[in-house]
Amino acid sequence: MTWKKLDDELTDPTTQEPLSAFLVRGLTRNVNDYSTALTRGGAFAFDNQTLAMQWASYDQPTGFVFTVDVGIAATQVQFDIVGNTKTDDSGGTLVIRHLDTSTQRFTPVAADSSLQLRTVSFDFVAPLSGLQGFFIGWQSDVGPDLGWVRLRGGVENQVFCDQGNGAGHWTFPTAAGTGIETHLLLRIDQVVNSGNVQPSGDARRDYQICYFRHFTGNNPDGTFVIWPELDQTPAVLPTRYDSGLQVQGHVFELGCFNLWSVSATTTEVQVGNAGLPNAYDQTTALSSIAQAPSNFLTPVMPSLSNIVSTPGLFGRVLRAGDPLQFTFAVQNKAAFGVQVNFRAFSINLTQPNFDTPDFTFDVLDSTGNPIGTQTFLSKQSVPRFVPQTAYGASANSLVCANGVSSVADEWGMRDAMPVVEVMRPTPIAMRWQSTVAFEALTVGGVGTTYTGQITCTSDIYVFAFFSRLF
Amino acid sequence: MAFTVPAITPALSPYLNPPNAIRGDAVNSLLQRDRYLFATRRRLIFTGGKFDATSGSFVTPFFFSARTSAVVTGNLWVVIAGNEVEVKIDEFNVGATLTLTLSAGGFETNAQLLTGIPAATTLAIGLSVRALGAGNLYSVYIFEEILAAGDLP
Repeated sequence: MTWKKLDDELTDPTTQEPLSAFLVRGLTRNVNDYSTALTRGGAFAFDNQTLAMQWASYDQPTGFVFTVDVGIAATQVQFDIVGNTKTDDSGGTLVIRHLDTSTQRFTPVAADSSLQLRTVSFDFVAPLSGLQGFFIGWQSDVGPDLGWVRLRGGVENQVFCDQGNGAGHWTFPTAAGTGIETHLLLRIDQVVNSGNVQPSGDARRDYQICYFRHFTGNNPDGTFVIWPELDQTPAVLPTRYDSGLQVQGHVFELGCFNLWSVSATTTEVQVGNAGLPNAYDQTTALSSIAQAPSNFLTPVMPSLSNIVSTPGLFGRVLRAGDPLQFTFAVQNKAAFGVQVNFRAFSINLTQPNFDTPDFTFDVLDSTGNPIGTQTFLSKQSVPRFVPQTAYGASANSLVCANGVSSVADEWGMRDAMPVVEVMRPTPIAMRWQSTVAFEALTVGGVGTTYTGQITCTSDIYVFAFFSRLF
Repeated sequence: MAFTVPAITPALSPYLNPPNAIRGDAVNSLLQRDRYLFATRRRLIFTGGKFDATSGSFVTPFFFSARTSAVVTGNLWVVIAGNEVEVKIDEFNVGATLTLTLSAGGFETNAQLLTGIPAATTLAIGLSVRALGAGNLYSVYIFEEILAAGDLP
C-alpha cells in the first residue's frame, strides 16, 4: 500500500459540506502507511585525516554505543559500515547489539585493507519506535606470528622485554626512546626446562599489547603495556626485571578495524492497522484517525545530531568550560524545543565535583550569540571511568579502556569498551525550551541556522550523543 | 480548494468525536495535518565535524554512505558552522557536488542545497575540508528538504 495524495477537490470545507467517505478511507490508508512512508535514517563519520578510529580487541568485543531514530514500528534496521582492516593479514568480527533487548548480530570481516562497505541487517524481536541504542563492537582474529621476544618480568599491566637477535625474533617497531600504539597479541611461551618460571598452558598466557615503549639503553629494552593485567596465578613471570629470570613469548598480529562511518536506515516496518471510521452516526470516532498524526508528530520529529567525537575516539573529550557544539536548522517556522541525550564519564579526578558536574545548554544564532534561555542542570551523576589499564596519565586524563593515542607518543585514551562498561553511565537528558520561533532555513543560512552548545564544569568524556527537536 | 503543504502544525477541528457526522472542516483539518506530517518529517542524512583544517588543498576527513527516503524533492540541505574554512561535498553515485565557504572569520554558518539527489538511493558522500585563514570546521548537518505540494505522491 503506497502513500496516496488525497483528492480534496471534491468538496469545500468552508461551507461545511461533508467530505466523502472516500477521503476518510484515503486518510486512513495514509495513517496506516506512516511507518513505511516516514522511515528514518542517518549517518555519522569519524575523522580519518587527523587520527583514524581504529581498534583491536582480543578478550571480548569492545566498541561504543550510539543512538538511532528508527521511526515508527520498525522491525528491521540496516547498518552500512564503511571501514577497512589495518592489514591484509588479520580480520575479525563486527558485533552489533541492540541495548534494550540484548539481541546481537555477528558479522565476520575478512582481512582487507582497502575501504569496504559492509551491510548488516538487524531484525528486532518486536516492532520498536523512536530512539534506540546500539552497541557496535569488534573482536579480533589472531593473525600471523611476528616473532619471538625475551620476557624478563612483569607487573600488573607491564611486561618487560628484550629484543632477541636470533632467527625469527620480533623486531622492535620503534627507535629507542619512543613508543607506539599497537594492536598485537603477546602469547607467553610454555617453559619446558626447569627454569625459574613455568607458565601454564592455558589462555592466561595471552595478553593484548596496547602499547610498546622502546627504552633507551638496556635493562630492559622495552615494555609492553598489556590487557588484561598480568595473571600471576599460576605464576607466569617474575614481578621484577631480572636478567636471570626470563622466558620467551611470541608476538602475534591482531585483526584491527578502521571505522570510517556508520549509517543506519530502517528497512522494514510494521504497517498500521487503524480501522476505517463509519460515516454518519459513526460508532468509531473520526478522532481515532486524527489521533494517529498527532501521535506521530513527535516520534518522527527531525533529528539534529547523532555524534560528537574527538579525532581517534568514538566520543568527545570535553574539557571544563569548553563548548560542545552541533549545528542545525528547521524548515518550517515554529517554536520548537531542542533535546539532547548523552552518556558521560568523568576523566579528571583532580577537579572539584568531578563526578557531579553542572551542565549548561544554549542555542546560538547564526552569528554565535545565545538566544532564548539557557538550560542549566546541576550536579548530574557522571561516574568516573575505571581504568582497565594503567600506564600513566596524560593531560590530566585517566587512561581509558585498553588503548592509547598514538599522537605525539602520548598515552591517552582510545575508548573502545566492552558493552557492560559503556552502559554504566546513566544517560543525561537536557531540553532547551524555545521562547521564540526558529526561522525557516534559507539559502545562505543568515539568521536561519542555529547551533546547540553544551558546557560542563569538569572534564568529561561524552558519548552516545543524540539530539532532536521536540 | 488549492492544495498546499501547511507551514505550521494545523489545528484540529473540534468536530471529530461522536456523534458528530464527518464534516468538511473536520476532515480538512485531518488532511492538513496528514500533509504537514508527511511533508515536513524528512530524514536526517548526516551529522559530523569537528575538524581542524589546514590550508592548501582539500583533505577528506569524512566519508560515509546514506540512503534517501522514498519521496524526496531532489535536494539535500547542507549546513555548516565554522571559522574561515571551505567545505566540499562530493556525492559519487549520482555525481552531485557542492562547495560552501566561510570566509569572514569568527563564528559563521552557511547553508546551501545539494541538488540532483534521487529518491530511495544509496549515496556515497565524501566531505572535504580546507582552511581559509584560521580554518576550523565546527559542525556539519545534512538533511532532506521538506516537500512542497507538487512533491507529494
